[in-house]
Order: sequence, then C-alpha cells, then structure tokens
Amino acid sequence: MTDPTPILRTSGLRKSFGMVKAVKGLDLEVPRGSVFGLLGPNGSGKSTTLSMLLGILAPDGGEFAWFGEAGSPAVRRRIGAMLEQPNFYPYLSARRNLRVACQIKGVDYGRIDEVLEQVYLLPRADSAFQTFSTGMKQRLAIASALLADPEVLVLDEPTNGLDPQGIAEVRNLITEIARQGKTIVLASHILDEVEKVCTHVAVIKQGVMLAQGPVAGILTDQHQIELQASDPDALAAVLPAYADHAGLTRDGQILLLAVSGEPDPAGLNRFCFENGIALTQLKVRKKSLEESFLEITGKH
Amino acid sequence: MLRLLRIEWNKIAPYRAFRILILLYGISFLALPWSAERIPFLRNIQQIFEFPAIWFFYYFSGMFLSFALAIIVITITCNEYSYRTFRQHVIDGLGRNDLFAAKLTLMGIGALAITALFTINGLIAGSVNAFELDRSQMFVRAGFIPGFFLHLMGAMSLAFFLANLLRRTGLAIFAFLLWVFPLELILKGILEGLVKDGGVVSSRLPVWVIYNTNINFEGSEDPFHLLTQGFIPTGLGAENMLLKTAWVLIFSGLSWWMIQRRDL
Repeated sequence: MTDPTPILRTSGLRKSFGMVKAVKGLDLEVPRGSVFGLLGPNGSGKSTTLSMLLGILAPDGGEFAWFGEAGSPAVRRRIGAMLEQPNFYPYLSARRNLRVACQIKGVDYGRIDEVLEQVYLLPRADSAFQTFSTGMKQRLAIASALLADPEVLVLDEPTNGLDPQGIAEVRNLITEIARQGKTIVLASHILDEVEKVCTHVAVIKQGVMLAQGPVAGILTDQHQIELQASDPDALAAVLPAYADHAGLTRDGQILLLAVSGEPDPAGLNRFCFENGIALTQLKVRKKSLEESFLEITGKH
Repeated sequence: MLRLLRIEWNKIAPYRAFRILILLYGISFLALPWSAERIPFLRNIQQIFEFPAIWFFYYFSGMFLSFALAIIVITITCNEYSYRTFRQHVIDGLGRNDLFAAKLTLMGIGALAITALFTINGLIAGSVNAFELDRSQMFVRAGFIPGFFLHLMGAMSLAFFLANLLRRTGLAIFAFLLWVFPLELILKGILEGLVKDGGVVSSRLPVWVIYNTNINFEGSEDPFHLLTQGFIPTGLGAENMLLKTAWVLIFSGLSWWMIQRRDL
C-alpha cells in the first residue's frame, strides 16, 4: 500500500521583506512520486518559498510539513536540495566537497563514487570545484542532493545559466531520477521545462498561487472541461462513453475531461443527465500551453 | 560533537591559507621561549627565559602571535558566508546551533592544543635555560597557563564575533586590528577623561581585558623594563580571569544570536 501522506504540504505560508510581500499565503500539496513543478516568472516567490521549506528563512506565518512532520534538521537530511546555485568550497575537490556533505547527512563515503558516476563526474572527482564549468557545478550539486538517497529532491532553476547541451543533460538526469520513483520539486520559470519533465504543477505569481494540479490539466493544449458531481466515481465511469472524449484525469473530487473539437457544455450536461448523473459543476477550460500559462499569470 | 569537529577538519585541513598560517604560527610560537640568545636587546635579561619569569614572558609574547589565530578564525568563518556553505549546511540538515557549535568547538580544541604546547614548550625551555634548575620554582607563576588559554579564547571569540557581524574577510580583519589598536584606546581615553568614574568601565573593555598583563603600561613600566628590575608579575588575578571568561561568553553569545537570527 502506498503512503497517502503527501511528501510536502504547506498551508497559508507567508513571507515579507520589509514592505514587499514575497509570498502571500501559499497552499501547496506535493503528491508522493510526482515531479512537481513550481512555475512562475522571475521574482514570483519560488525561491523564497523553497528557502522557507528548507530552513533558510523563517516564515512570517503559515505552516508546512515534509512527510507529515514539521521542518527540522533531521527532516532536512531526508531531502536532497539545491537552492539557486551550487554552494561548495572552491578549493576542495568534488570528492572532498561530497565528504563534507556525507558527514552532515550521516552517509557512508562509499556513496560518493556512485553519485559522481550518476552525474558523469567520476573522471573529475579529484579536481577542485573552482575548475568546473557551470554545467559541471550544477551536476555536482545534483550529485550532492542524491547522496543520502533521499525520498525527495528539491531543485531550484537547475538549468539556469547552462548552454543547450548542459540543459539537455540536466533534464535527462531529472527524468532518470524521477523514473526511479523519487519525488522531485522543481522550481522553474521556463514553461517548456515544466511541461517536459513535470507531472504536476503549481503556477505562482507575485507570491500567490494561481493554479495547481496535474500538468495535463493545467497546461493543456486541448480544450478541457472541469466536472464535479456528488458521486465522482460514477461520473468517471460514464464519461469514456461521451462522443468527444479525448482523455480523463482526476484531481481529488474534480474530473478533467479533455475533449476533441470545440467544447459543447450543453451537450455534455445532457449526456451526463441522460446517464443518471446531475453535475454540480461544469467549467470549460481551453487552449494551448503557452496561452494558458500567459493567461494564468497575466490575468492577476 | 566529534562529528562536527570531523566536518570542520575536512573543510580546513586541505585549505592552503590555513595550512600556511597555522604552520607559521606554530613555528613562531614554539621558537618564542628559545629566542633569548638571538634577540640583542633581550640578551641581557636572561632571567625572563628561566622559571618562574618564563611563564609571564611566554604569555606576554604569545599574545602578539594570537593575531594569526584571529585571522584564521575570521577567514574560515567569512568563507562560510561568501561560499554560501553555511546556507548549504542548513539545507543539507545541520541545525543553526550546529554551525555555531562546530566553530566554537574548533576554537576550543585549538586553544587547548596551543595551551598544551605552551605548557610543554615552556617547561622544556625553562629547564634548559635554567642556570641552576630549581624545581620548586617551576610552577610558581603557572597561573599564566590557564590565563593564556582564556586569552586565546578571548581573541578568537572576538574575531568570530566580528566575522559573523561583517561577513567579509578583509573587512573583519581590518575591524579586528582597528578595535585592538586605536579604537578601544580612544574609547578608553574618552571614558577616563570625560566621564565621571569612567575608569570602572574602561578597565573592563574587551581588548583591555583579553590582552591584559596586569602591568601598568603607562610611563616607563613596560614589561621588559620591569623584568630588568627583577619584578615579575605574579599572575592575572581572579578578576581578570573572570572578566576574560565573561567576554568569551558575551562574544560567543552574540555570534550564536547572529547565526540563529540572520539570513545565511
């Protein structure tokens, strides 16, 4: 049986810097095993949020729990994280830098070669960090995050400042890690990146959550219809028979029906009623990825 | 605690600036009580390298070298801020208390090791230098041994405080030198000259307390002059030892507070 406790849950998380309200009451829920994108333009509060979740900043209000527990050093040792930029001692080699991380996390030195291998840095294990390229530094940070074989990885703009090849390498790495069943929280301002690697997304702008859910539902290029009924299971059972049905995703009580062609809400309503289900909600969502992102971030 | 020390050692042992500074410090520190024959103006006051005066002389000259330790403490602490590794340590799962405890333990162990060297080297040099070894005199002024430990802790905790406050190596070293040399003396002058009973405060200022030799430096009463007169300071006195301890606690406490409260 899978553990139903979400990897991360926040409620009403707030942080201000003087007059600037960076994060305004954020409610997040990161399901286990998801690749969760935190999507928003620069300055939207992504890094501030992650800093609070990782003990760097104290929230002004609200709560958060990793694995159902309040934040603490012991809880953070179960998370592998890279915030903003790779932070290492420039004069130490990759291996020696990872030794420091091993001791903090209580991990055997034997893991060092494994993670260096995983990020293709083993041949440079004994080179000083300051001799690394931006991409290599980024990969070393991912290696360090992987040391304790954590249940969840937190990566903040992991492809920032990389050349196209570096971006491809890091993205492949993330997809590979996700395939091993780890949960990944990925902050990014790049829509395309989130769409390519994430299963879930939360869209943030100016510290406010604009939308949250499966990527297919939020950043869809198909028209979608949001449906709710008193018995969602029964609703889910009849929908595949709907003529324009092109896919169905479920987010708690809400069903998202992708439709081919132009949406016909009246027809759908009639179809449901004829099948013995009275809808309690019916909302048409539309359009392409780019458009929905721009709309989500633009209308507020 | 051992884990924290091991982490610290992994960070600093391969650091070249640390190795060079500690090596230079070690050589100079060990050479101090053996330097009599080679320093012209000291040659004539041979007894300062014999028991019991050697403890005072080693304490007094050792204080000048503790600048090197202050620079080491400032460098390794400010590095943590500029490399953003304090921040990364918290992300990786150290508590802020651990960040503080690791550095304080490192300073404590360093001060203990140097004090041990102080004792052993002092005993050997004192015995070798003695014209005629009188065992009863060996530990007569040994109160300078714990006094030296407290001096080292004082100088390093002041350096640690400034490093956490200013976070930039150059700036913190400059502030340290400024405070130790002119700044506190100016403050002392103002307190004593302009404030009624200012002396009560001025004699308890940190640098005065940490670098105290229990000698009146004013006029001609410099320590070498006193020694040539056959006067050997008896020790630091309980009040100075308590005040040194108090400043160690104050500077450490302020550093702890800054690490707890400020963004890393």
